[in-house]
Amino acid sequence: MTPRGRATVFARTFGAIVLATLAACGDEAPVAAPLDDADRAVLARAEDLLYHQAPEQVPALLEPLLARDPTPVEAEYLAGQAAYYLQDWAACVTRLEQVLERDEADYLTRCNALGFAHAKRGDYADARTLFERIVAADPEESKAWYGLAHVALLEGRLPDARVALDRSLALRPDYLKARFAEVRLLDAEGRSDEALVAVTALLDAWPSNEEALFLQVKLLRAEGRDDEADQAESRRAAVYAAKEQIATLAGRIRAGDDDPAARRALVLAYLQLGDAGEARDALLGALAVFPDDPGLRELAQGFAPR
Amino acid sequence: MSRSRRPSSRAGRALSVPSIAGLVFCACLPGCGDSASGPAGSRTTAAADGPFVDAGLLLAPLTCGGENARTILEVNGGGLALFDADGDGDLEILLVDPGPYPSAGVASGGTNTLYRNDGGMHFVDVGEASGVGVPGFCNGVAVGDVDADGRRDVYLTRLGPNALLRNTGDLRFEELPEAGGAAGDGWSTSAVFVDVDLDGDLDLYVVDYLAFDADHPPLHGVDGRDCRWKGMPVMCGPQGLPAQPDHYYRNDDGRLVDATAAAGFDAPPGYGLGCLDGDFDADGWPDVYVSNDSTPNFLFLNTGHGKVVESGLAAGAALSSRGREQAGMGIAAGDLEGDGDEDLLVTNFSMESNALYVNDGGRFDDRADPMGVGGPSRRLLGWGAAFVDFDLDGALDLVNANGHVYPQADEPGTDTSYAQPDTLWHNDGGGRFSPRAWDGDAPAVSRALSSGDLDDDGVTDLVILRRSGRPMVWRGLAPERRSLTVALDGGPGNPDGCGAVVAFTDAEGTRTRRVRSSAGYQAAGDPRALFAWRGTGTLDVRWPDGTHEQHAVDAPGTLALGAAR
Repeated sequence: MTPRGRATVFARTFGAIVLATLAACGDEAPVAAPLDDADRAVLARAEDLLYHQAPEQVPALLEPLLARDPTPVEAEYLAGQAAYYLQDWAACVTRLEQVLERDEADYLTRCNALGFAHAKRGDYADARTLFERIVAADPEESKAWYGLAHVALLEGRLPDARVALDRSLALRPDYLKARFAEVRLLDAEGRSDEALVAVTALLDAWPSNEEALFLQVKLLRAEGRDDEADQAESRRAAVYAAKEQIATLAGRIRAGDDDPAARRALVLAYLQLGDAGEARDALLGALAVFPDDPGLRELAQGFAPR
Repeated sequence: MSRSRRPSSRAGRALSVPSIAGLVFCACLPGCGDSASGPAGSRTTAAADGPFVDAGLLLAPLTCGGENARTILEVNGGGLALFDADGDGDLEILLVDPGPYPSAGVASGGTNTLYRNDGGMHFVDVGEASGVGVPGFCNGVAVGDVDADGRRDVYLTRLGPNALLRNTGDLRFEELPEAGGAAGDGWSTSAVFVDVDLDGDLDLYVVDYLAFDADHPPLHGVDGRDCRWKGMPVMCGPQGLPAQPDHYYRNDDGRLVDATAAAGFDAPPGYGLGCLDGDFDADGWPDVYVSNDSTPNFLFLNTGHGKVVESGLAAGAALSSRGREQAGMGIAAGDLEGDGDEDLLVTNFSMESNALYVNDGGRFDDRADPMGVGGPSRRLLGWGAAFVDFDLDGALDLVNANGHVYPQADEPGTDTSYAQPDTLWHNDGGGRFSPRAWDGDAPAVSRALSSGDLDDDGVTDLVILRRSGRPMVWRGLAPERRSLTVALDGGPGNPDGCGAVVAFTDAEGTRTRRVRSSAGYQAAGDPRALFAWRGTGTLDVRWPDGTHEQHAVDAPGTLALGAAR
């Protein structure tokens, strides 16, 4: 068995112990009725909506499942995720805590989600506690190490952030969020030259990260490279505008104010961000609704077949 | 429009810390139980475990439109000024009351009130004769001696033309036509008097918010508007409403002349809410910082002789640490690191967080999170803010007012609330802040805040306005007479020495304070510099004209300087 496998077994055991302890205390974990095909279709649709950045539609979709007593854990978890994206951190935390109390499946993933919800809410100590538990259960959980580094950075504990981040990146060198945290940490450590190199490399892989662009602007200005900073600022502004436009267009389309022009603009906004995958998905979605629109068909010619 | 009226019987009514004697006396007088102004009905004063205690002052309640704000006009609340209106050395209190929602064809305006300071936390409503009760939906206030007669004048921001009230002495004010040239015609929120061109008189910067037609207010569901927050219909704005440009008025021998473009203040309009003067790049020329709602904040750096360049983005003081514009409201400035330059605190919307722009030679870095004021502020929506050393340990602490804009914040799923606790942040001396329990933790819908030593005991006190209702006065409880207060007089045109920088060096190091009257958000505050007393030292004053003077100081107390300048 690999170390990761052992840790997973350990984590499941840890989760099972939690459940067993609750049961021994007389708080027997309730068991939800089995899901049928219609339920699973609803859950799949909810996942799809989350993936396509339409979290506001998820609570209504899940409402029938959430009204059950007990609530299916899967629905509770998706509702928690939707609350995360809707920035309702309190609901997110409540739901994820309920999920963790009742079900050991994907325990570490869900713990991670809860940790980041705590961090988003500004409850850094709670987030730290969770991430520490996760890495204690599975020392190879790169996301939790990143979570620890993220929280330590927020709290200004730079040596702790360095230890956690090095562990995260050693486990998963291509983890873009951790690489961005590395840039922020280098900057906070006063290692500006290295931060500038790292952020430039990161932006090659993640050009739509406007926070990284913002940091690049700051680092360039600190070096007196104002022309390059101005260029980076223009890129940042373009990325920011594209994201704002995507949010506006997606909201408009979801609200039923849909036409080929909006769909074309959405595809182009994704392309502006350098996100070809999302652009392709947006185009396929548009062609499904407006298959004969010449503008959309012309756009499609620019994409290689899947 | 007619002037707002108040019963003449209010004039001369005393407000003071409640006492048994006062209550007995009150019970014997008919009408004394008027809850708007008499000591009967005072709040119960909470246990005095500090660092502030309810001073028990029953200042006049303010109104800002309807009970539940239906429009964005009714959100921002009123203003206040703590300033020496009669030149006797202590601080009067001016409350700026927006009043009911302005209706077409009907005279509008709340009841602005000036309270005379009689010492010992004892204040008297000057009454209608003060002349501060001008009509209109007033929001904010700035204080400065515009006509160089040595008396502090008052500028009121309003929906529509603003007002300049000339101080004629003896706690009397008269409104000048066209606000002395600075009337404008938008919706102004905050303003600051600052000698931008260093010619010895105070110029004026006025912040405007957005275009608002009170007769046709933007409402959810009207004119196709779909104004929502977290899926709920809410009042509309600021997004979707046109932002308005700010204005800069140069003081030409007492006449305020619009020099916005000529001086370089003509930045693209933002949703302006707060402003503060400072010398953020330490070049001796006054700069202006502006907090904008939902648009990048401005930093107007003075390039000399009254010309400025908007440098917020370039200097790193426009956006959050993540590069996002936030809903800038209140501003506080203070030298947190002891490096001689001032850092900036900006309060923001819920689910954003306070921004704390640490100043490193004119370049700013938002370190709100590592310095402790980020996370705990995320569920709060902040307004007025001030750096004050409330425990007199030598490190600047922080206080900020909170309260949401949407009454709907009390609905489930918002992760915030309409009424919120005002936050007191303790500085551990190493630049790390943590929230501290205090009597102001009780949730309220607060807005503007100002700080000053109201009872001249060497301890900073606070006044916090509610969006609607009675202001709170908090008396500082740190040990009395353990501080050094420096009161400057810059002569006619600048009686408070605004723009001077005062540095006190003792055995533990140097602390620096800028003398200013602006309190950031719709308010003016105590311009005097206050230092916790840690022992003898040397006081260095750099006057706005660049001259220095030094004094050896061997005891705490008040040091008045510059009257003969």
